[in-house]
Amino acid sequence: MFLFVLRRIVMSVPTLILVAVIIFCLVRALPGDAALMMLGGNIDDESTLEMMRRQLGLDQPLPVQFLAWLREIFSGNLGISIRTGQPVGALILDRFGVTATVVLLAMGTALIVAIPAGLIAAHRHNTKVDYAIVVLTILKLSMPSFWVGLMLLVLFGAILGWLPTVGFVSMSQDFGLGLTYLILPVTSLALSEIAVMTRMMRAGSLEVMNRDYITHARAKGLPERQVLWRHVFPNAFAPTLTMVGIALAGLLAGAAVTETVFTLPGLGKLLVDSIYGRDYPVLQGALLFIAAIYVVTNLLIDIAYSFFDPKVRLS
Amino acid sequence: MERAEMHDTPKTDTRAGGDPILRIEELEISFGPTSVVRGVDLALRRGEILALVGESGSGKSMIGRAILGLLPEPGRVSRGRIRFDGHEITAPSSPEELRLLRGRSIGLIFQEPLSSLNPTMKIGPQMFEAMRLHTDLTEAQIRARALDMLRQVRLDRPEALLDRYPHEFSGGMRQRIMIASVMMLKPALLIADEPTTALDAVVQREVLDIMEEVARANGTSVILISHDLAVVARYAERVAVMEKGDLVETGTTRAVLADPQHAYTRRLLAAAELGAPDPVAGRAGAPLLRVENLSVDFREKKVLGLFGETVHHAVRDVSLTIAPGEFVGLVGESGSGKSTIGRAICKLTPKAAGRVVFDGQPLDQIGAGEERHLRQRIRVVFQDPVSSLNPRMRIGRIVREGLRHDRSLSDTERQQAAERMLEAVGLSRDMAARFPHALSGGQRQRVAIARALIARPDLIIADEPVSALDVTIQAQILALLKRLQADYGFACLFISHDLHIVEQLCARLYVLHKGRLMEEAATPALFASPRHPYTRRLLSASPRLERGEKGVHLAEHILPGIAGDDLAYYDAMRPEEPYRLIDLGAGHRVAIRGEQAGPPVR
Repeated sequence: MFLFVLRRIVMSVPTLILVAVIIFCLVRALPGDAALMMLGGNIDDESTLEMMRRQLGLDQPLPVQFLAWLREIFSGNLGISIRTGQPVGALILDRFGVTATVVLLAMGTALIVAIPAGLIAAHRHNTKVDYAIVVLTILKLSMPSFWVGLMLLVLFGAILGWLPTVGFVSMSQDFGLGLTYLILPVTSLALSEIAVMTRMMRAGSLEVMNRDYITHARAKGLPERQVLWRHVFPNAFAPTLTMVGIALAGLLAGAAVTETVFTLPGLGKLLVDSIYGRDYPVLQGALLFIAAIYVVTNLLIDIAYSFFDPKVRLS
Repeated sequence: MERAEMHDTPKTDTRAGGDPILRIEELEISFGPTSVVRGVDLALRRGEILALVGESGSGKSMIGRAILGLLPEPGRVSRGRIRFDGHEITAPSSPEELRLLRGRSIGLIFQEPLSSLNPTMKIGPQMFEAMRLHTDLTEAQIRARALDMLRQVRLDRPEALLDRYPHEFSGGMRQRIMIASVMMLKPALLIADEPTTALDAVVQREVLDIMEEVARANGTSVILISHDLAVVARYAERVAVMEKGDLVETGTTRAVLADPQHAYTRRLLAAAELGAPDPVAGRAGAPLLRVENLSVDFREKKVLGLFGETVHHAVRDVSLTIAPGEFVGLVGESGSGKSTIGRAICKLTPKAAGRVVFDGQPLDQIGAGEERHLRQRIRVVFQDPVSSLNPRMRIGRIVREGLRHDRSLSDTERQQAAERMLEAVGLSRDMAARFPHALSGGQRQRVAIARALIARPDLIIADEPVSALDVTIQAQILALLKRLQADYGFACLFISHDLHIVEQLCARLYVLHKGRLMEEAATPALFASPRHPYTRRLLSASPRLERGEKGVHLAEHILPGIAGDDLAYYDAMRPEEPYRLIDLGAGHRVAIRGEQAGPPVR
């Protein structure tokens, strides 16, 4: 297990370096000039512009710029933001904290709801309970998530006035207040994931329920609850787990729409802002960080997989 | 024969006495408007073993499931009643009453050992959970009982076994674990639904022997559901025969075998009994196919280890010949490499060493054009008629494809040839317009044979062509192959795990074990005087029915002096260890250990 993790981490280094090269080239290929943007966008004075470029290191040949960036990466702070002057590493971690809080809470909620819902739907296959669950998930899937987010804001924020609509307060500063700011974005994200995962869980369970070992578990005289939890769930969860992995990585990489709707200072928002501002160091850093998120999430999912499928050996 | 007689005399009456433990009256099981079981009356006494025999779709498994109250949706008991030991199964006082009977009083063992254990749970917990539910024993007592049970089904080192997952065991071992876990609760009734159908003859025999032993030791009644009369006749006191939902005959095993009353039973017996062998001998002259010192390796890359690979020697140093028009049998258990040899001959699997000479031409040295031509002369019929026919192609096109290489034919001519071929294999011309899913297993296998024969090949490689079929269908397909051979004159390498099937058709047999040839002989010589211990074990594991003076009875091969040490040696033989075949005369060759001087002594 330890060796497996170590090997995976070592093997991810070339991946990340390759990603770094691609990110660097793409970012440089973006139209626009960071120096021009820094100076407000309408400077005619070529020498001021030149000085700005030199100050930002943009006058160097591209390979030299890339090596400079690599040096920054290995030093850990990923460079300095052109716009704010903050170290990029700290900036990303700060914003990622917000995103991770929202996403992990949403994903946890989604799993707690979706797993039993999917199991029950499959267990009560072709009954009213099953139909109700299926219809609800389809209904949710056919609604755009930003719209659901907005409706939540209108209902609970504007009309009922129970929850704040704009802004964010860190839970580390004021736990109770911070929580109220999180409820709506977490609910909005969780609803989408619940819909997807309930369907996955239901489909997986239906397939497993036809297997001989389920009939056999019943033939042992086990009560239905034990049949479902002990025999159906571990076997039906594996495909859902793959979905969870993909969704988790995608959301951690920036739930940009949700963050925009709920004005959360998350990673997705940082990424969008840095693109508009041609903030090369932040943009590069954020993209590389996202690549790392994917690597780590996949690793975690693989480890989790080994708990649900004994045939998967971590070696 | 000793054994059959021992079974015949005392068991029928003395052992199984008293009131019936299970009584089924006028049982009807329906799926929606269609009934799959009709008017079945059965009674089972304590300690009695009843064989419930029928082909797939006869409703035999549904009866087993109904006894447990576990019919698959939307099946239900629409008429009649099932009484078990004072309980009304079909009208329980509560669902709980039924649930508490399951496992504790009625055990179930399924056909497919690969899918009847939960793959995500260790063996131990799977064995313990029913005990926890139905008994008040402590964890330590449950564990001790499980270990004791595993020893009873003859599994070594049971302690280590409890902590392992099902996929770490072979099919036969899993089925033994299954028996242990079900019989641990000492149920009064065991329902064994085709418990060994997926297993090889040798393993099948072992598993059934163990099951019988454990059941008799605990006084458990057994309903042994099977499609194979010859297999179950050995164990059952009584036989019940099902045909298409109707119970057509019941009686003591001996009476049913000796004097079947119903036409269907007679047909079933005729199919299982397999009359006198009528092998297809080849023509004289140069062999059509010569396989010389063939070896095949499977390499498995160590994925994350980056370097190195594990080599699995699937076939080691195998030589065989087939004369033109000759039927040759290649026999072995699953994993013995017999299919791999077939695949290597048609170049579907790369060889590690050796050569294949077809009609005087070494197959390694021919060009692409010749190879295409060659593929018309060697054709394959696969085991699984479901997956070997493209489900999206109509039958006519599937058969016609065999002629695609022949540019001289028009499409209409090909179509006509396909239709003629369909008739030759006993199907009607209008089948050409259908899709494979509309055909039965036997019909599909006929299509596969038609597809193989339409190009008039010289050699057919038939890889377990009848193993997936019911016995009566098996007999039909074998007869068909024989008739077609007389018409078309092709040779055939017949790959099978069933000795009695190859005995019907093949003039010569090769016995394969762990990728090595153990014995080669003319079929009668092999059956009359098998020389290799492995061949003997294989023979003694295959039951068959024989027609004697008093009708059909169960025949067994009595083979004195199986050299146990020798066998253990071959079982454990490592790939790099030497072995060679020595000639005993008349084409009878037998493998000996590298250092041995002569053949194994009798």
